[in-house]
Amino acid sequence: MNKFSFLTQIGMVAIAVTIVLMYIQPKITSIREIQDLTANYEVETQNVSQVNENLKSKIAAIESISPQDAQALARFMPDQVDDIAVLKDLSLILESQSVQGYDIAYKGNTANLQATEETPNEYNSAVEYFFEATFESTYEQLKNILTLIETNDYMLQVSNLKVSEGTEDNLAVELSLTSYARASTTVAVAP
Amino acid sequence: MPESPSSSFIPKRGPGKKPSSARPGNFVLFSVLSYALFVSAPLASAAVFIYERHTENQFNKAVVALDQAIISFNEEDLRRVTEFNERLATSKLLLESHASIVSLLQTIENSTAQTVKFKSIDITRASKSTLTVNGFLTTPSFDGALFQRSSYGATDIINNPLFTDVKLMKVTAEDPAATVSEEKNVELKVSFDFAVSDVLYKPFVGETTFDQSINASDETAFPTEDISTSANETTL
Repeated sequence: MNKFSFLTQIGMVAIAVTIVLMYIQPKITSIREIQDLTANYEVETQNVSQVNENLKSKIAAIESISPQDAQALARFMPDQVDDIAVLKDLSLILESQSVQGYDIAYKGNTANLQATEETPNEYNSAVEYFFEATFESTYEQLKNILTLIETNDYMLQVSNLKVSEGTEDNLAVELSLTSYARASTTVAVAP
Repeated sequence: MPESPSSSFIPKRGPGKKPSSARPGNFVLFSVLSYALFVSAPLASAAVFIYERHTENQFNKAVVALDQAIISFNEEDLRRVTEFNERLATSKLLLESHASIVSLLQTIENSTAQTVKFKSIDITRASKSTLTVNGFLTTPSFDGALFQRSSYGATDIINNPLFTDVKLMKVTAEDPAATVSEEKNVELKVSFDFAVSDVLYKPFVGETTFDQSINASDETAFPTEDISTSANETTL
Protein backbone atom coordinates (compact mmCIF):
# COMPACT_ATOMS: atom_id res chain seq x y z
CA MET A 1 0.00 0.00 0.00
CA ASN A 2 1.21 3.37 -0.97
CA LYS A 3 0.97 5.86 1.89
CA PHE A 4 0.78 8.75 -0.55
CA SER A 5 -2.07 7.14 -2.42
CA PHE A 6 -4.01 6.58 0.82
CA LEU A 7 -3.68 10.21 1.81
CA THR A 8 -4.81 11.25 -1.65
CA GLN A 9 -7.91 9.16 -1.30
CA ILE A 10 -8.64 10.64 2.11
CA GLY A 11 -8.31 14.06 0.51
CA MET A 12 -10.70 13.11 -2.28
CA VAL A 13 -13.27 11.94 0.24
CA ALA A 14 -12.83 15.14 2.23
CA ILE A 15 -13.34 17.27 -0.89
CA ALA A 16 -16.45 15.30 -1.82
CA VAL A 17 -17.90 15.66 1.66
CA THR A 18 -17.11 19.37 1.64
CA ILE A 19 -18.89 19.79 -1.68
CA VAL A 20 -21.92 17.98 -0.34
CA LEU A 21 -22.05 19.94 2.88
CA MET A 22 -21.11 23.36 1.54
CA TYR A 23 -22.93 23.38 -1.80
CA ILE A 24 -25.34 20.55 -2.42
CA GLN A 25 -27.15 20.55 0.89
CA PRO A 26 -27.78 24.34 0.98
CA LYS A 27 -28.89 24.22 -2.62
CA ILE A 28 -31.35 21.43 -1.88
CA THR A 29 -32.78 23.48 1.00
CA SER A 30 -33.06 26.47 -1.28
CA ILE A 31 -34.75 24.38 -3.99
CA ARG A 32 -37.30 23.13 -1.45
CA GLU A 33 -38.12 26.68 -0.43
CA ILE A 34 -38.53 27.72 -4.05
CA GLN A 35 -40.75 24.72 -4.71
CA ASP A 36 -42.92 25.60 -1.71
CA LEU A 37 -43.20 29.16 -2.94
CA THR A 38 -44.03 27.95 -6.43
CA ALA A 39 -46.74 25.70 -5.06
CA ASN A 40 -48.21 28.63 -3.10
CA TYR A 41 -48.13 30.86 -6.15
CA GLU A 42 -49.83 28.16 -8.22
CA VAL A 43 -52.58 27.80 -5.61
CA GLU A 44 -53.08 31.56 -5.52
CA THR A 45 -53.09 31.69 -9.30
CA GLN A 46 -55.79 29.03 -9.33
CA ASN A 47 -57.79 30.98 -6.77
CA VAL A 48 -57.53 34.22 -8.70
CA SER A 49 -58.36 32.43 -11.94
CA GLN A 50 -61.39 30.84 -10.26
CA VAL A 51 -62.54 34.26 -9.07
CA ASN A 52 -62.07 35.64 -12.56
CA GLU A 53 -64.07 32.79 -14.05
CA ASN A 54 -66.85 33.25 -11.49
CA LEU A 55 -66.87 36.96 -12.19
CA LYS A 56 -67.14 36.33 -15.91
CA SER A 57 -70.04 33.93 -15.41
CA LYS A 58 -71.82 36.44 -13.14
CA ILE A 59 -71.31 39.21 -15.66
CA ALA A 60 -72.67 36.90 -18.35
CA ALA A 61 -75.71 36.20 -16.16
CA ILE A 62 -76.26 39.91 -15.59
CA GLU A 63 -75.94 40.62 -19.28
CA SER A 64 -78.43 37.89 -20.09
CA ILE A 65 -81.12 39.86 -18.24
CA SER A 66 -83.31 41.82 -20.57
CA PRO A 67 -82.86 45.60 -20.52
CA GLN A 68 -86.48 45.98 -19.43
CA ASP A 69 -85.99 43.74 -16.41
CA ALA A 70 -82.71 45.41 -15.50
CA GLN A 71 -84.40 48.77 -15.75
CA ALA A 72 -87.31 47.57 -13.64
CA LEU A 73 -84.90 46.34 -10.97
CA ALA A 74 -83.03 49.64 -10.99
CA ARG A 75 -86.34 51.44 -10.66
CA PHE A 76 -87.51 49.17 -7.86
CA MET A 77 -84.25 49.56 -5.92
CA PRO A 78 -82.63 52.80 -7.05
CA ASP A 79 -79.35 54.22 -5.86
CA GLN A 80 -81.18 57.25 -4.64
CA VAL A 81 -84.83 58.08 -4.13
CA ASP A 82 -85.93 61.29 -5.74
CA ASP A 83 -88.29 62.70 -3.14
CA ILE A 84 -89.90 65.14 -5.56
CA ALA A 85 -90.64 62.36 -8.05
CA VAL A 86 -92.18 60.23 -5.31
CA LEU A 87 -94.35 63.12 -4.15
CA LYS A 88 -95.45 63.64 -7.72
CA ASP A 89 -96.35 59.95 -8.05
CA LEU A 90 -98.28 60.08 -4.78
CA SER A 91 -100.09 63.13 -6.02
CA LEU A 92 -101.01 61.34 -9.25
CA ILE A 93 -102.24 58.30 -7.32
CA LEU A 94 -104.45 60.43 -5.07
CA GLU A 95 -105.78 62.48 -7.94
CA SER A 96 -106.51 59.35 -9.96
CA GLN A 97 -109.03 58.53 -7.24
CA SER A 98 -110.44 62.05 -7.27
CA VAL A 99 -109.08 62.83 -3.84
CA GLN A 100 -108.82 66.57 -3.34
CA GLY A 101 -107.33 68.67 -0.59
CA TYR A 102 -104.61 66.27 0.35
CA ASP A 103 -101.31 66.99 2.04
CA ILE A 104 -98.22 65.02 1.11
CA ALA A 105 -94.75 65.53 2.48
CA TYR A 106 -91.27 64.08 2.46
CA LYS A 107 -90.07 63.35 5.97
CA GLY A 108 -86.39 62.64 5.52
CA ASN A 109 -84.27 59.52 5.22
CA THR A 110 -81.92 57.34 7.19
CA ALA A 111 -78.80 57.94 5.13
CA ASN A 112 -77.15 60.25 7.64
CA LEU A 113 -78.32 58.10 10.52
CA GLN A 114 -76.60 55.07 9.04
CA ALA A 115 -73.43 56.95 8.35
CA THR A 116 -73.10 58.14 11.91
CA GLU A 117 -74.73 55.55 14.11
CA GLU A 118 -74.39 52.33 12.13
CA THR A 119 -77.91 51.17 12.72
CA PRO A 120 -78.64 48.78 9.89
CA ASN A 121 -82.29 48.19 9.20
CA GLU A 122 -83.90 44.93 8.25
CA TYR A 123 -83.24 45.32 4.55
CA ASN A 124 -79.48 45.03 4.06
CA SER A 125 -78.98 48.53 5.38
CA ALA A 126 -80.96 50.03 2.53
CA VAL A 127 -81.62 53.71 3.01
CA GLU A 128 -85.21 54.41 3.99
CA TYR A 129 -87.05 57.48 2.73
CA PHE A 130 -90.16 58.51 4.62
CA PHE A 131 -93.26 60.12 3.19
CA GLU A 132 -96.60 61.09 4.65
CA ALA A 133 -99.96 61.69 3.08
CA THR A 134 -103.03 63.12 4.76
CA PHE A 135 -106.33 63.19 2.95
CA GLU A 136 -110.01 62.44 3.15
CA SER A 137 -111.62 59.79 1.04
CA THR A 138 -114.25 57.10 1.00
CA TYR A 139 -113.31 53.61 2.04
CA GLU A 140 -113.46 52.47 -1.55
CA GLN A 141 -111.16 55.25 -2.67
CA LEU A 142 -108.76 54.38 0.15
CA LYS A 143 -108.59 50.75 -0.96
CA ASN A 144 -107.98 51.80 -4.54
CA ILE A 145 -105.22 54.16 -3.43
CA LEU A 146 -103.61 51.40 -1.39
CA THR A 147 -103.87 49.04 -4.36
CA LEU A 148 -102.13 51.57 -6.59
CA ILE A 149 -99.42 52.08 -3.98
CA GLU A 150 -98.90 48.32 -3.71
CA THR A 151 -98.59 47.92 -7.46
CA ASN A 152 -96.21 50.82 -7.85
CA ASP A 153 -93.03 50.05 -9.79
CA TYR A 154 -90.88 50.96 -6.80
CA MET A 155 -91.50 50.08 -3.20
CA LEU A 156 -93.82 52.31 -1.22
CA GLN A 157 -94.32 50.34 1.93
CA VAL A 158 -97.14 51.35 4.24
CA SER A 159 -95.52 51.75 7.63
CA ASN A 160 -98.56 53.25 9.28
CA LEU A 161 -102.19 53.83 8.35
CA LYS A 162 -104.57 55.74 10.56
CA VAL A 163 -108.19 55.95 9.58
CA SER A 164 -110.81 57.84 11.52
CA GLU A 165 -114.03 59.65 10.94
CA GLY A 166 -113.69 62.60 8.64
CA THR A 167 -115.96 65.34 7.48
CA GLU A 168 -119.23 64.54 5.80
CA ASP A 169 -119.21 60.93 4.58
CA ASN A 170 -115.47 60.66 4.31
CA LEU A 171 -112.70 59.00 6.24
CA ALA A 172 -109.77 60.98 7.53
CA VAL A 173 -106.66 59.10 6.46
CA GLU A 174 -103.07 59.53 7.60
CA LEU A 175 -100.70 57.39 5.60
CA SER A 176 -97.01 56.91 6.36
CA LEU A 177 -94.98 55.38 3.57
CA THR A 178 -91.41 54.20 3.25
CA SER A 179 -89.41 53.94 0.08
CA TYR A 180 -86.00 52.31 -0.21
CA ALA A 181 -82.73 52.91 -2.00
CA ARG A 182 -79.56 50.88 -2.19
CA ALA A 183 -77.27 51.97 0.62
CA SER A 184 -73.75 51.96 -0.72
CA THR A 185 -73.91 54.73 -3.27
CA THR A 186 -76.87 56.58 -1.92
CA VAL A 187 -76.46 60.29 -1.44
CA ALA A 188 -78.60 61.80 1.27
CA VAL A 189 -81.29 64.10 0.03
CA ALA A 190 -82.24 66.83 2.38
CA PRO A 191 -85.91 67.09 3.15
CA MET B 1 21.93 -31.12 9.14
CA PRO B 2 23.54 -29.28 12.00
CA GLU B 3 21.44 -26.07 11.57
CA SER B 4 18.64 -25.71 14.00
CA PRO B 5 15.42 -24.59 12.35
CA SER B 6 14.77 -22.20 15.17
CA SER B 7 17.92 -20.25 14.56
CA SER B 8 16.82 -18.92 11.16
CA PHE B 9 15.85 -15.21 11.00
CA ILE B 10 13.25 -16.03 8.41
CA PRO B 11 9.89 -16.31 10.07
CA LYS B 12 8.41 -19.67 9.81
CA ARG B 13 5.01 -20.25 8.49
CA GLY B 14 2.97 -22.73 10.36
CA PRO B 15 1.25 -25.45 8.57
CA GLY B 16 -2.06 -24.29 6.99
CA LYS B 17 -1.34 -20.66 7.82
CA LYS B 18 -1.69 -18.37 4.76
CA PRO B 19 -0.80 -14.67 4.51
CA SER B 20 -3.74 -12.30 5.36
CA SER B 21 -5.35 -10.54 2.35
CA ALA B 22 -7.91 -8.33 4.33
CA ARG B 23 -6.03 -5.11 4.42
CA PRO B 24 -5.34 -4.82 0.70
CA GLY B 25 -9.05 -5.68 0.02
CA ASN B 26 -10.30 -2.93 2.32
CA PHE B 27 -7.91 -0.56 0.75
CA VAL B 28 -9.27 -1.33 -2.68
CA LEU B 29 -12.84 -0.85 -1.48
CA PHE B 30 -11.91 2.42 0.13
CA SER B 31 -10.18 3.45 -3.08
CA VAL B 32 -13.26 2.72 -5.12
CA LEU B 33 -15.48 4.59 -2.71
CA SER B 34 -13.23 7.59 -2.54
CA TYR B 35 -12.97 7.79 -6.32
CA ALA B 36 -16.71 7.37 -6.64
CA LEU B 37 -17.37 10.12 -4.12
CA PHE B 38 -14.83 12.38 -5.70
CA VAL B 39 -16.43 12.00 -9.10
CA SER B 40 -20.08 11.97 -8.02
CA ALA B 41 -19.89 15.06 -5.78
CA PRO B 42 -19.13 17.46 -8.64
CA LEU B 43 -21.64 15.65 -10.84
CA ALA B 44 -24.28 15.99 -8.14
CA SER B 45 -23.36 19.64 -7.75
CA ALA B 46 -23.88 20.16 -11.45
CA ALA B 47 -27.19 18.35 -11.32
CA VAL B 48 -28.31 20.40 -8.33
CA PHE B 49 -27.25 23.58 -10.08
CA ILE B 50 -29.26 22.66 -13.17
CA TYR B 51 -32.28 21.59 -11.14
CA GLU B 52 -32.12 24.81 -9.15
CA ARG B 53 -32.23 26.77 -12.40
CA HIS B 54 -35.15 24.68 -13.55
CA THR B 55 -36.97 25.29 -10.25
CA GLU B 56 -36.30 29.01 -10.45
CA ASN B 57 -37.72 29.04 -13.96
CA GLN B 58 -40.85 27.30 -12.73
CA PHE B 59 -41.12 29.81 -9.91
CA ASN B 60 -40.74 32.71 -12.33
CA LYS B 61 -43.45 31.21 -14.54
CA ALA B 62 -45.73 30.86 -11.51
CA VAL B 63 -45.10 34.49 -10.59
CA VAL B 64 -45.86 35.61 -14.14
CA ALA B 65 -49.03 33.48 -14.21
CA LEU B 66 -50.21 35.00 -10.93
CA ASP B 67 -49.44 38.49 -12.17
CA GLN B 68 -51.41 37.83 -15.34
CA ALA B 69 -54.32 36.42 -13.35
CA ILE B 70 -54.29 39.49 -11.10
CA ILE B 71 -54.08 41.81 -14.08
CA SER B 72 -57.00 40.08 -15.76
CA PHE B 73 -59.13 40.64 -12.63
CA ASN B 74 -61.51 43.46 -13.44
CA GLU B 75 -62.49 45.62 -10.50
CA GLU B 76 -65.21 47.29 -12.51
CA ASP B 77 -66.81 43.89 -13.14
CA LEU B 78 -66.65 43.07 -9.44
CA ARG B 79 -68.24 46.42 -8.56
CA ARG B 80 -70.97 45.78 -11.11
CA VAL B 81 -71.68 42.29 -9.80
CA THR B 82 -71.64 43.46 -6.18
CA GLU B 83 -73.96 46.34 -6.95
CA PHE B 84 -76.36 44.10 -8.84
CA ASN B 85 -76.28 41.51 -6.07
CA GLU B 86 -77.01 44.13 -3.40
CA ARG B 87 -79.86 45.50 -5.46
CA LEU B 88 -81.32 42.07 -6.10
CA ALA B 89 -80.90 40.79 -2.53
CA THR B 90 -82.47 43.88 -0.99
CA SER B 91 -85.32 43.80 -3.49
CA LYS B 92 -85.92 40.15 -2.66
CA LEU B 93 -86.02 40.94 1.06
CA LEU B 94 -88.44 43.78 0.44
CA LEU B 95 -90.74 41.68 -1.72
CA GLU B 96 -90.67 38.84 0.80
CA SER B 97 -92.03 41.19 3.43
CA HIS B 98 -94.25 43.35 1.25
CA ALA B 99 -97.57 43.25 3.03
CA SER B 100 -100.75 44.03 1.19
CA ILE B 101 -102.76 46.43 3.31
CA VAL B 102 -105.70 45.86 0.98
CA SER B 103 -105.60 42.14 1.79
CA LEU B 104 -105.38 42.99 5.46
CA LEU B 105 -108.41 45.27 5.26
CA GLN B 106 -110.25 42.59 3.33
CA THR B 107 -109.48 40.05 6.05
CA ILE B 108 -110.73 42.43 8.72
CA GLU B 109 -113.88 43.06 6.68
CA ASN B 110 -114.51 39.35 6.33
CA SER B 111 -114.05 38.76 10.05
CA THR B 112 -116.05 41.69 11.34
CA ALA B 113 -119.74 41.33 12.14
CA GLN B 114 -122.14 43.56 10.30
CA THR B 115 -123.38 45.09 13.53
CA VAL B 116 -119.89 46.17 14.50
CA LYS B 117 -118.43 49.41 13.29
CA PHE B 118 -114.86 50.65 13.34
CA LYS B 119 -114.78 54.26 14.48
CA SER B 120 -111.05 54.36 13.89
CA ILE B 121 -108.29 51.99 12.98
CA ASP B 122 -104.52 52.25 13.24
CA ILE B 123 -102.40 49.79 11.29
CA THR B 124 -98.69 49.88 12.07
CA ARG B 125 -95.84 47.89 10.67
CA ALA B 126 -94.21 46.83 13.93
CA SER B 127 -91.43 44.87 12.28
CA LYS B 128 -90.49 43.21 9.04
CA SER B 129 -92.73 40.29 9.93
CA THR B 130 -95.57 41.78 11.97
CA LEU B 131 -98.36 44.27 11.49
CA THR B 132 -100.27 45.47 14.51
CA VAL B 133 -103.83 46.72 14.32
CA ASN B 134 -105.50 48.88 16.93
CA GLY B 135 -109.14 49.74 16.47
CA PHE B 136 -111.93 51.51 18.25
CA LEU B 137 -115.19 49.65 17.78
CA THR B 138 -118.82 50.38 18.52
CA THR B 139 -121.69 47.97 18.50
CA PRO B 140 -125.28 48.34 19.63
CA SER B 141 -125.17 45.45 22.09
CA PHE B 142 -122.92 43.28 24.18
CA ASP B 143 -123.95 40.39 21.97
CA GLY B 144 -122.20 42.10 19.10
CA ALA B 145 -119.05 42.51 21.18
CA LEU B 146 -119.15 38.86 22.26
CA PHE B 147 -119.72 37.70 18.72
CA GLN B 148 -116.89 39.89 17.47
CA ARG B 149 -114.51 38.52 20.07
CA SER B 150 -115.29 34.95 19.04
CA SER B 151 -115.06 35.84 15.37
CA TYR B 152 -111.57 37.34 15.65
CA GLY B 153 -110.52 34.48 17.91
CA ALA B 154 -111.65 31.98 15.29
CA THR B 155 -109.83 33.68 12.43
CA ASP B 156 -106.49 31.97 12.00
CA ILE B 157 -104.49 34.85 10.60
CA ILE B 158 -105.67 37.32 13.25
CA ASN B 159 -103.23 36.80 16.09
CA ASN B 160 -103.59 37.72 19.75
CA PRO B 161 -106.90 39.59 19.56
CA LEU B 162 -107.32 41.64 22.71
CA PHE B 163 -110.47 43.53 23.64
CA THR B 164 -110.12 46.28 26.23
CA ASP B 165 -111.89 49.36 27.59
CA VAL B 166 -115.35 47.94 27.03
CA LYS B 167 -117.92 50.59 27.90
CA LEU B 168 -121.62 51.03 27.50
CA MET B 169 -122.03 54.61 26.39
CA LYS B 170 -125.04 56.73 25.77
CA VAL B 171 -125.36 57.64 22.13
CA THR B 172 -124.96 61.35 21.67
CA ALA B 173 -127.14 63.32 19.34
CA GLU B 174 -124.11 64.24 17.22
CA ASP B 175 -123.37 60.61 16.53
CA PRO B 176 -124.31 60.15 12.89
CA ALA B 177 -124.46 56.41 13.39
CA ALA B 178 -127.15 56.61 15.98
CA THR B 179 -130.59 55.41 15.14
CA VAL B 180 -133.85 56.39 16.73
CA SER B 181 -134.26 53.13 18.56
CA GLU B 182 -130.73 52.98 19.94
CA GLU B 183 -129.95 54.80 23.09
CA LYS B 184 -126.68 53.20 24.07
CA ASN B 185 -123.73 51.76 22.29
CA VAL B 186 -121.05 49.38 23.46
CA GLU B 187 -117.65 50.84 22.78
CA LEU B 188 -114.44 48.85 22.99
CA LYS B 189 -110.88 48.87 21.86
CA VAL B 190 -109.38 45.97 20.00
CA SER B 191 -105.82 45.14 19.10
CA PHE B 192 -104.43 42.22 17.20
CA ASP B 193 -101.47 41.25 15.02
CA PHE B 194 -101.04 40.00 11.51
CA ALA B 195 -98.07 38.04 10.34
CA VAL B 196 -96.84 39.71 7.17
CA SER B 197 -96.57 36.30 5.56
CA ASP B 198 -100.35 35.93 5.90
CA VAL B 199 -101.08 39.11 3.98
CA LEU B 200 -98.21 39.11 1.54
CA TYR B 201 -98.54 41.16 -1.59
CA LYS B 202 -98.89 38.81 -4.53
CA PRO B 203 -97.71 40.71 -7.58
CA PHE B 204 -98.97 38.27 -10.18
CA VAL B 205 -102.51 38.48 -8.91
CA GLY B 206 -102.32 41.94 -10.41
CA GLU B 207 -102.01 40.63 -13.95
CA THR B 208 -105.55 41.84 -14.32
CA THR B 209 -105.88 45.53 -14.89
CA PHE B 210 -106.51 47.90 -12.06
CA ASP B 211 -110.12 48.46 -13.17
CA GLN B 212 -110.73 44.73 -13.00
CA SER B 213 -109.32 44.55 -9.49
CA ILE B 214 -111.69 47.30 -8.42
CA ASN B 215 -114.59 45.38 -9.88
CA ALA B 216 -113.44 42.24 -8.11
CA SER B 217 -113.43 44.00 -4.76
CA ASP B 218 -116.91 45.28 -5.44
CA GLU B 219 -118.13 41.74 -5.58
CA THR B 220 -117.13 40.94 -2.01
CA ALA B 221 -119.86 39.81 0.29
CA PHE B 222 -119.26 42.62 2.71
CA PRO B 223 -120.17 46.21 2.13
CA THR B 224 -117.34 48.65 1.84
CA GLU B 225 -119.08 51.92 2.42
CA ASP B 226 -117.43 54.67 4.34
CA ILE B 227 -117.41 54.98 8.06
CA SER B 228 -120.40 57.22 8.54
CA THR B 229 -122.94 55.72 6.21
CA SER B 230 -124.53 53.08 8.32
CA ALA B 231 -124.19 51.84 11.85
CA ASN B 232 -125.73 48.53 10.92
CA GLU B 233 -123.11 47.64 8.37
CA THR B 234 -119.51 46.61 8.68
CA THR B 235 -117.82 49.80 7.75
CA LEU B 236 -114.56 51.61 8.05
